[in-house]
Amino acid sequence: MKIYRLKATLLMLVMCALSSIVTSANAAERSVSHNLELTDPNKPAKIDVSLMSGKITVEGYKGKTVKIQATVNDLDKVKEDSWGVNVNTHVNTKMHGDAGENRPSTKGLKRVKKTNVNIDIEERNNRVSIESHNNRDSIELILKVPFNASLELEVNKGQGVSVTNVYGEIEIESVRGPITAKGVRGSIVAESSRSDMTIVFDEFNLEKPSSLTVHRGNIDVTLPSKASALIDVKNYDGEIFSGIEAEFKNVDKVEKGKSKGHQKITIGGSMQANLNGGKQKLLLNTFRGDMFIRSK
Amino acid sequence: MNHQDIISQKIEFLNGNRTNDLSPETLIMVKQDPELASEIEFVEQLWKQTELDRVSKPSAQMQARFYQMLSHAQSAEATSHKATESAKKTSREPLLVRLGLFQPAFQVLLLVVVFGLGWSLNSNKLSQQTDRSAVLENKVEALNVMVALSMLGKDSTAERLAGVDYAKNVSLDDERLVDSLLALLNGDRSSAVRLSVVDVLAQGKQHDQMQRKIVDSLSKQSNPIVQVALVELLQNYSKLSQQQLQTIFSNEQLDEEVARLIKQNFAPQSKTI
Repeated sequence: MKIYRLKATLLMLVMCALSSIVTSANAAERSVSHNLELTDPNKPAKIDVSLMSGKITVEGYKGKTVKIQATVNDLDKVKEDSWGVNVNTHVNTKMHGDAGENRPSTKGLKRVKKTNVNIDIEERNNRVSIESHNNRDSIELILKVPFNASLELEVNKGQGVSVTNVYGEIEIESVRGPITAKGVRGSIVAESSRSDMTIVFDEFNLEKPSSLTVHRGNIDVTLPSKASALIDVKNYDGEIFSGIEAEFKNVDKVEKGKSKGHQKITIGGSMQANLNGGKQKLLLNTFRGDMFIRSK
Repeated sequence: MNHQDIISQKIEFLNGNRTNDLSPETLIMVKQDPELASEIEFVEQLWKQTELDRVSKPSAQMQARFYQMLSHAQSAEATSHKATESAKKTSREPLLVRLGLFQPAFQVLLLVVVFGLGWSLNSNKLSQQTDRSAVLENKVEALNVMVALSMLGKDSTAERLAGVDYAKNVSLDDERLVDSLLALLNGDRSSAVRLSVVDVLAQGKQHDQMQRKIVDSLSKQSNPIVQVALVELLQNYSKLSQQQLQTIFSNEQLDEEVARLIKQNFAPQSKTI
């Protein structure tokens, strides 16, 4: 079997040299694009993206390659600008902390703009891995993937994740940014710590359970009216607004009698709604936030 | 005279319709002709056989005697049959009379014996069936554990979630399964998986060791939803020791609201604990 392996750090540098990249007019931005062929275009692809900072946008399309466009914003630039540092004659050493105190003077020197993009891209047997561990760059990654691709997306900080019309299995983790997924047909497991989540199902997948978790933020989910879902809601502090044709019932209420030496309490608990027979589970969890459950 | 004429004369003689046998001249002819001699000999043999089979009709007296004898024989046979029946009846009667007196007792006894036999056989069958069912159940349970363990180890979060959901229907007597669930509770990157594990553990046995493991897990959790779920789970156990509370509060990521709930429900100064 043909194995296609690509290290994008090298690739991007080569691409820069060949001027096959599109460099933004803004000096603080660097943008590259690449059309990645799959080992077997007739089989579904699995796309795994991990960014320390930035935004991931994925869109399903009819093609059989993975189109990658990455735009990098230098976080140092952003910080320097915000702290009033002259970026062209880099003389301020404050931002480098203790290490910067003994730094040689840069007086009379010009700062050389970085034009490389530190992203690792690897493809092996239709499994595409895109990673950037550079904490100093905020990367906006735009991907176009075949409709039937599966996704595993993770971004630590930044503007979150947006997915449209990708029909495979989806996993999203965005620590600080919002999550939006529309046109979902496969199972989805999404989690955000501090931002809202909006998920619109085109179809509700019955093969595997789906789960949406927000620690502090709202969940807005839309299901097809014919979806057969057992919706299990755990919500400690927040309201639930439902537009589906199924009643939510309390199924997990913690009550302990004082005779056993325990205080009677009810914490959060769980609510459940059986929609059209409830053939597969949809778990909705928030600690502090409201839930909007819609039907279309 | 031809052969047919000579044979006819012979047959007539043998049949008694002719007084004289064949003439000497005819006999010479017969001797000279072997074929004719053979045919004459065949007719003579045949006639001898016929003579042997011939039965004379009985006379009227003989017939009368026969029917008289037949009548005597039939009446004698009838008398003999009656006597035999009578003899048999006489010999059985006392036993039946005796049995008749105890018939209800015998019936009850018979019923008891049959019932006892049936019960014994059924008990054996039930016992065997129970044993077989137990063996089968153990095998099914072991299989369920294997399936659950396999699903819990999947890369896909959705599949692990399905595995945890599957484990809800499996007995938590198997240590491997409990260990695997605890490993997910403490290490899975998905809060949804950890939260589902808490639901499963709530169905398991409540013992001190499990309480310690829950406390230990609570001291590591970053997601407040999971923290709350574990606090709920701890409600099923006895009160927390001071050391356990310290362990929980050592978690720097413990949500303030969750900390308040723990103090409210588990702190030593709590009236009910």
